[in-house]
Amino acid sequence: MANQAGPQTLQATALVHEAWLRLGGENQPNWENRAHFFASVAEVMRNILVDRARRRKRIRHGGKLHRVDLETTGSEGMNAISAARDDEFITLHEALERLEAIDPEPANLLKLRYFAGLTIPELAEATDLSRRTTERRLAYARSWLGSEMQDAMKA
Amino acid sequence: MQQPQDPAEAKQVRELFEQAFDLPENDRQRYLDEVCGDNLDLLQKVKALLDQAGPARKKLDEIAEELIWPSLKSFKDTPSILDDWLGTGLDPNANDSLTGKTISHFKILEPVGRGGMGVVYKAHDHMLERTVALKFLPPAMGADSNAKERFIREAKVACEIDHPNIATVHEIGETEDGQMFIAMGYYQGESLKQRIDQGSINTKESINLVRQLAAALSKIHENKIIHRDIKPGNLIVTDDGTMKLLDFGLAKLSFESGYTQVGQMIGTVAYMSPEQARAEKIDERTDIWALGVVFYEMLTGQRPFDGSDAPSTMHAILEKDPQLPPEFNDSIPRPVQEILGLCLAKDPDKRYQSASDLISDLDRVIEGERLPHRGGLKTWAGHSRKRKILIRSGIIGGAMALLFLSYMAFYMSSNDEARFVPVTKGDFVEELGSFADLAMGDYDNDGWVDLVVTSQSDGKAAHLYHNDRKGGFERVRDSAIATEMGAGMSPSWADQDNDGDLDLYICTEKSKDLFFRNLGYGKFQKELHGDWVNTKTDGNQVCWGDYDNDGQLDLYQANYGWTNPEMNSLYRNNGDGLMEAVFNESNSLKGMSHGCVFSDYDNDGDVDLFVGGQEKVLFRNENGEMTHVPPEEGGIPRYTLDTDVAFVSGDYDNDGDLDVIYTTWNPDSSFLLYRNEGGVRFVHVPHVTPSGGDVRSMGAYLGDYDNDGHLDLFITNRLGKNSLYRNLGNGSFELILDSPAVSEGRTSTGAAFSDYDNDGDLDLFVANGVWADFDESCEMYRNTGNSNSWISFSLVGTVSNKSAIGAKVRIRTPVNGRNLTQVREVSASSNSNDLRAHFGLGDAKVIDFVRIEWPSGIVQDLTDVDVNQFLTVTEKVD
Repeated sequence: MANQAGPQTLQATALVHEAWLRLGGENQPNWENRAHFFASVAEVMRNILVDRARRRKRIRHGGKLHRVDLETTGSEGMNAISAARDDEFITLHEALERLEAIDPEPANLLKLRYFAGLTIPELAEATDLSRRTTERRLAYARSWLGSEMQDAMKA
Repeated sequence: MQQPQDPAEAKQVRELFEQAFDLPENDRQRYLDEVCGDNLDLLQKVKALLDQAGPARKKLDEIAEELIWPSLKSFKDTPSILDDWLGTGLDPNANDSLTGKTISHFKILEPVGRGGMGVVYKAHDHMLERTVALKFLPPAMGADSNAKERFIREAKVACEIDHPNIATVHEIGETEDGQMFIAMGYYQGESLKQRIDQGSINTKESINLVRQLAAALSKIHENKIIHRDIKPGNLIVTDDGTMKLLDFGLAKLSFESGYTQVGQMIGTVAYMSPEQARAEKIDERTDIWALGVVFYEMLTGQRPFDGSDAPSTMHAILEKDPQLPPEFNDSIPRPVQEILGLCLAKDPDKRYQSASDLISDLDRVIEGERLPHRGGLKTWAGHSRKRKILIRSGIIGGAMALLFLSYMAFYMSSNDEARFVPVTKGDFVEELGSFADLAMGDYDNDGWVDLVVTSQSDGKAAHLYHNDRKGGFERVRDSAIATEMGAGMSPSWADQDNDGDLDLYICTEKSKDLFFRNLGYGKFQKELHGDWVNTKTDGNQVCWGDYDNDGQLDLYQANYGWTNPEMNSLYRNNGDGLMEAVFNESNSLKGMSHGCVFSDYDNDGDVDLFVGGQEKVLFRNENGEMTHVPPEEGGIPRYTLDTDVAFVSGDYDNDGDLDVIYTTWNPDSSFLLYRNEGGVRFVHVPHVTPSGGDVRSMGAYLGDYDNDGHLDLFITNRLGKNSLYRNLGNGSFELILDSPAVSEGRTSTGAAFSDYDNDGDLDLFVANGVWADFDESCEMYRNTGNSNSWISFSLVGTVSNKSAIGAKVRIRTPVNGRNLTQVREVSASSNSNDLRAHFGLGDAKVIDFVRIEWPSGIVQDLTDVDVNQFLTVTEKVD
């Protein structure tokens, strides 16, 4: 009931947790550190992915500024991600930037949820919010972005 | 629908959204109409967002599943990538925005590497027509004017230093958007790190390279600069074999400004000197130590102090004498070993006092001369060490402090003695029988915990004891519990019907299992209806838990079946008083189970399940579905069939997740401690507990009997003395041999830690005499306590089950100088204590933060809670 995450999400969380453990994190019994760590992961992840999406876009458009080795475009490869998906992702990134500027708290929840893979209980723990508030606020962030993305795609 | 872009309006929209979000469809409209009034624009915005909730969630989940989450996988495969990324915030493969641009008089050609402080580019200086390396500082550092000023000052000094083994600093500058950079000499070659990654370097070349490094150190020390961050990644070996030292002056800055990130620190810990690790004042001799580490690494391809994580590496640096890998003992000449020893002396006074002394010795080795005699310093083991840990210098960077504190937390603990005194008078400890197990619970709601003990023999009833509130128990003979004959194995208290008093379930070995409904005022009635009390199973243990999170307690029972292996039982509570048999993966196999426990190991708010005696041990609960977690996916492997017994869960290492102890009556392993790593997997950690000798473990019980903030462990032994393990607070336990609590050596199975005299410390109860006709008496030990603080929570569920079984209490507060996070899960299994959550708090005077996570998902926070109290918390619905 409390856990509404699908298997894929759980796996994502597990991966970040594992990275945290392998970096020696288990000996820092302090959620603030862990939260800080996850925030860093989310931010880094987002930058990387937006760079990759933009790069793929450039290549698709023949705008090869540099020789790009397809091997290095990332684990998902060049063909697996459609142009439409990349566009969507870039739009999402830009909308998220706007949300961060006007209302950082929901933006932060959304980043931790989607870019570091945290589950609702973990989000609640990391942000000191109740689970219900976490869920509502995350829903708000999603809706806000969804609405912005819809407008942007129409435009 | 254009959403508000102004913070104030956005906040208003968000608040309305959040209020309306939980309401049913019909009420939403009404609510919004009411609060928005004439403001139709506001109403429409909130409504548009609410309408988006479903589609937006779908869209974002899609993007995440296709594009984001698969990429997180790269962290797992190559954690060093994450380390690097965290250090720089940049993807090594990512295209960058600077390549091709011109900054000042530099045309940026390509990225060539990344250091701790930013990205390095190869660039062309079109004024002086030379190739340079441009290093950009992270914007975060440039933003701090103090850091910037220091950076400029240090870089100026660096500009003036001219030495063949030090990378030349040409100039410092700032881009239009305020990013600081330095222009350095560009050297064709590879870093020493890349070089060592290919394998060790022969002795002659190593000596040659380390001599060049020593020369560089000598030069910068002359200029009163300490490098602080000597490591292979900061050293370049040019194509003609020249060593170039990079980044001096910067390292200091990065430490002081607190910019250095945790991920990056970890890579650097291995080169840290003992005085750095202790965050003491450092001087030039710290660089000599680091040179020693680099020298060792060149010679052997390995680091002298290397742990699996930062704290263990720090531990090695502070405590362990370096040793050469055996295969190098003969190949590395004695004088070179001696030089290594003199670089790696823990005490800086016993180290080379200057780089020039070191150079003299290296030159002697190169010339084939003998080293001068230095009394007492020739063997590595002979170096004296400072064991006292204290922080001397005032300012240490954030990441450094964090690592140091985690080290302290790992290796230091408090010690305040608490003793168990045997209670020798009273029915409970005087009556003889074949007592299988006991359960503590306050069945008459008088605030004092009572006690039931099962009798395994046919034709005998369980013994029910009522707490006399004067330090003893009186036997209750006129209760349904006390008159029902049957070979009882394991009892468990829980409020099955959510009516505010504890009911009792007893699984029996041969006859029908028993359930006694509490009618109030301590009167019980035997339940006659339903499969659960009318099926003959060989029940050994039982646990209560609301596995489907409907607020009603369900029941799992481990069935043994010595000659005829049985399936386990699971009964779902339908809320109408009846229990319905359920079959799922967790009870689909025949086996010989002794034990089971419900516990939320993955911190997702629902109870998972651990079962012994069958092929599958761990089941993860996902929305009421029990799915087996195989060992290769982080689960627990089954121990030999029939010799495995029971489970208890608790967070012994205070890292926020519940670890598990799996007992076995095979004396070779006796019990298995599995550490929970972030709810992701279990790792067997046998080294954490010393062996108790020939112990056939039955039950395991966790409780902080010395109130020091760390869970201690009691193990019952069916054939000899029981074991008491005291948690040292550093991730390991010591065996307590001189306590009366482990002096008896009877046939023990069930036990419990429980504060029966309400004085704030946990007392100990042991049931003895299992396997019929041993006729032994039970044991009871009163805890004398100590000066440590404590708190005990009683939880009352409203949305959740009334007994709050499955609820977690987390507390966070400094204890004995360390910020400690502790967690307890309310549990009702054969190896749990009572339903209260007891915490030891050491010297704490107040608890900063308490969080209660109810099974319903409701979270309740308390702050500044007084210590030394019994606190009842009722689930609050907001």
